[in-house]
Amino acid sequence: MSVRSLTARLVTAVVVAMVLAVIIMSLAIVIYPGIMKWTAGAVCPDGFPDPFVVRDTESIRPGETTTTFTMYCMDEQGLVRDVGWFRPIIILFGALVVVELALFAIMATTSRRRSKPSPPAVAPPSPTPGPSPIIT
Amino acid sequence: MRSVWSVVALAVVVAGGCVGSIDRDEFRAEIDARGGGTSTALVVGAVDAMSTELGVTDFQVAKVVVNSQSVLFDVRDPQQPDNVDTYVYTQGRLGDPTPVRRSSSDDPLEESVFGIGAVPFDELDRILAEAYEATGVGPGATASVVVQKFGVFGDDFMFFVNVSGERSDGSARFDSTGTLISEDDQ
Repeated sequence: MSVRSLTARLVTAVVVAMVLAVIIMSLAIVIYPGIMKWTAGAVCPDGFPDPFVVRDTESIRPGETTTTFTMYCMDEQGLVRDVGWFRPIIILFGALVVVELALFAIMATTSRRRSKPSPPAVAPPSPTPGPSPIIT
Repeated sequence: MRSVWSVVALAVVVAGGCVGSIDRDEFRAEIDARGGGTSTALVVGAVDAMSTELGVTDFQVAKVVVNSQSVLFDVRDPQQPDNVDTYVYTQGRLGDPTPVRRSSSDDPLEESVFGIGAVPFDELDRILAEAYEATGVGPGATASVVVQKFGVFGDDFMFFVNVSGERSDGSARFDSTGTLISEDDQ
């Protein structure tokens, strides 16, 4: 495989992984906003071990509401740090892209192994057939 | 099969935006249940940030107010000792200074200020626990603390702790060493 072909495949894989990650993350946040809490180990400052995803629902105009999610980290005495939503989402997005790329790599390796022709089986040498007898 | 997907879709719509999150009121209740965030950790962080901002470890203050989630300092400017500025520390960050207006009828600044290093903020958790116990307000109560020189009570600074509960309020005074002087139920 040429370098150009390999680069093209890599770029395609990254683009597909990112598009898939955007779709999956959008659905995940709508269905399970608590997913942001998975990033607590990375975004919560030391001494603020308990993550909370807080929901604010506002009515902009009659019949229309918006909901926003913000992640906070809290200590034992109720002191909180606002870590927002951007950093948790970016971390989850990045992790998802990496997992997808790893899956693509595994799938590509597996399919290449399957499609590669198997080497011919070594057959025992057969005696050279002589001219068939002519029966008259 | 179609009915199964309908149920799944309905569950997603109903549960969507709720799973793993809490609303703002529940969050405030959780903060209050843990003590409101008024703590030694909050003040120590605030004093460290203030020291870094001013470039000195023992700066002078005219007043320190510790609230739930924030600390307010009225600080004497080390570079221009006639000036006092208000700084607010919240969310781990120190805001920009705001000038404090003083009038000729105020006590002389020299008599109002005290060194931050003399305030036993590392005792604040114990002071708060004693204030809760002395006032009988809580659990679930939140407190705010004012550290200042109150002329009527003497020349030294003291801690004035206001405790606020769901059904009652109270206050307690502690001297400059953090010893309880008096309490008042309201």
